[in-house]
Amino acid sequence: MSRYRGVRLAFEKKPAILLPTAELTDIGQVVLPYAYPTDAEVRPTVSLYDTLRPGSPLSEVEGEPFSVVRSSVTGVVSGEKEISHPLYGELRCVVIDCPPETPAPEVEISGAGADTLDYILTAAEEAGVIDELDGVPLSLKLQEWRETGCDFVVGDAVEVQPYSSSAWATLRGNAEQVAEGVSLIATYAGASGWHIAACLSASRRRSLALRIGKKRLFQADSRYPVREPVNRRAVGKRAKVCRVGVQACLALYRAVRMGRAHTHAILTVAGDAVKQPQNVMVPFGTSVQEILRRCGVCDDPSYLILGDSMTGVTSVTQDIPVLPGMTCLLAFTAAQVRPTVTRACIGCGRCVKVCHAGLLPFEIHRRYENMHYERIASLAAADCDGCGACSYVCPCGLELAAVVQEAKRSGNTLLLDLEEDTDA
Amino acid sequence: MLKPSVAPHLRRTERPFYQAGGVLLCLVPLTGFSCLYYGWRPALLVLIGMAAAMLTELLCSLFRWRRPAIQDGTAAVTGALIGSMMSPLTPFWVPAVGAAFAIGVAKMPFGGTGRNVFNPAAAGMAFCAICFPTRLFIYPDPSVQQALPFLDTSTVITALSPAAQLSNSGRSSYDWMDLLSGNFPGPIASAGVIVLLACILYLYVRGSSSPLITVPYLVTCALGALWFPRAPLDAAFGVALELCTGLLLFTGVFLLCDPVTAPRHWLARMVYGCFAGMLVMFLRHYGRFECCEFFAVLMVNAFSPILDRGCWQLTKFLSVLTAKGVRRS
Repeated sequence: MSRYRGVRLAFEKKPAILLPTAELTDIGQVVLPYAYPTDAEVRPTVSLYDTLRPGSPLSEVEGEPFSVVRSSVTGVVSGEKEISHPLYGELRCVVIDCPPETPAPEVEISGAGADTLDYILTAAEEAGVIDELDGVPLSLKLQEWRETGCDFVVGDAVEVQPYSSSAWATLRGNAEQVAEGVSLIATYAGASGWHIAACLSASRRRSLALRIGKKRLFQADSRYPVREPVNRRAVGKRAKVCRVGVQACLALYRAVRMGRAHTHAILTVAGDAVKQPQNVMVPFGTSVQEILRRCGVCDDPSYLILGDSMTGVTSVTQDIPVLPGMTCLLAFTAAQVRPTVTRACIGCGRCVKVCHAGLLPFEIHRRYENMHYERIASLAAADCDGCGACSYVCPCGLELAAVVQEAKRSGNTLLLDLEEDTDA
Repeated sequence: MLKPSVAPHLRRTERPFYQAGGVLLCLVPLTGFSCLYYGWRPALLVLIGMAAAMLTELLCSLFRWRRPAIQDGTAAVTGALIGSMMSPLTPFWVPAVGAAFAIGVAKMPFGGTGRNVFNPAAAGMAFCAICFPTRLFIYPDPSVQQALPFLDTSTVITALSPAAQLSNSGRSSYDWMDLLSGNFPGPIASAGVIVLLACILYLYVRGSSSPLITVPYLVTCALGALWFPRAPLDAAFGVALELCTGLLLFTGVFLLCDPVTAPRHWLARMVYGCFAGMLVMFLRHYGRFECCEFFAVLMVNAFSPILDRGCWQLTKFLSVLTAKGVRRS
């Protein structure tokens, strides 16, 4: 009954995975939020024409220091604006102009280099480290793991989605630092062990194993969605395994050992509308338009995707900043994204075969299509995690994942929603 | 101009004709094998079935004011399957009527491709078997080795098929060599046993067919033939004779594995195959016709959605129990 399903996706990572990571400098301008969405009171600590250094805090948030955002560049505050970000929603932002001058030294986090247990949490909080896997501040995760217990920590560099290679780009340049970051997290959370999980070719695996040790590298299954990247026999059946992104591990290492804030992201910029697909390191707040301009984009891309090709969200504007939680930026033409044919379900059963949650996506879709909303509840749509594997394999081009997610969101209330709509 | 879209943004591409193309490709050697014994008549029957099915689909689409979907190949497959299940002696209008019924009654009124409850080819064959039994179950003798005439078939030497021999007299005049070489009377697509086995392998590799249905179906039929033999023959030969004659093997590959009407859940597929096997053996023992597989297919089709949901709920329940067990330990 516990047979793992999943699907092997197209690779499509070349040439970005082969090229060295490029660092984008002379950005011109960055747009950063004062704080990430929070209910607490936000008090800006910067004002117009203030000169900022990398790591300068932009605000104070009452009771939630992890929501504080720090400047990612050297520059001058030139204004304020409200933006609607596809990942974070409505944000009040500060605009920082970055003149092409020698960058000022970074603001150091207090007490850098201390090796006490509590300092790991403080550093994660002060540096504003955010886990790129889910966009949650690392300090929150560390607190939770410490309280509820954590048996094993996995530095997650498994990215089997087409085009994405930012985790590999992070590991290639900073494997030792990432390993130490994972080790710090394991120490704080009280875990008995840790490793870095990746899905790599034999040659990349060998070169990485030489740097961090063979035992610290776990070769994950290449099926999507990614199976828990641990050996359960070794770790224990009931062991609680915690996953954290490798960029967050690197940021934590830099915060603890060097006192540096989390100011940069490594992004894979790819897609058939991008002329030079590559991994780039950019300061947070850099405009997507600027990144695409530097990488070369065709005149009229039809789709801009923030995040990977399986679960990312589309944006209808290029005028949005890069914020933590983004590891991939894809620009596609219309021909690449949409299937040319959409027809009725032919019942091939591939959606059932690949669904790792053990659902019947075709049945949920059929009931939704036939407006049998009251019967959807019995099909456990709530178990869906939105991986999108069912839609990926559907030969009929049906939006199975979207329908299952809609059913999940609505629960048993789809029928009620419809009645309300009709009344309205 | 940037557009919004829902995840996942990339899809595995597959041509609409892919699934139907595989089945049609398999029917070519099967019909060709029959042509070796009977001349071009079997091929013409298959082509007439295809043409009638496609024409009916076109007319129905026009009647419903919808864009015709002939290019997906499903109508051609239905017609070709009906033609392949006919006797080489069947008049040309019979597959045309069967195909028209299949598309016009069993497929299009339900909403067309992907929405039919019953297998259209099985429905078409069942209609022909009930309406024209004397035209359907008369087979030419393959040992005569002469091409059948196209129109006047009154002078053709006929013979009893092994399936008819078993149901009528409880004996068989054929041996292993006859079975393997296809030298026995029967429907167009039933004779080439080795070709049929190769088709099974090809469709499995291509992903157009599911071994989870065919294997339990054949195993159930084999066990039925072993435990309830219709003739006092050697056990192994008796089982082989039951499996290779009539449309039993053909049904297991082409009718039961029809993706639209078969269940999708792995356990449901296995139960579906076993259930179909039991029905086929029951109908072979007590049914009116020597080829009764399409009736069994229609019956199990009705249970397909129930099997899907029932087996899914059962596996879900068991997985919850297993998870609880792990947590408790």
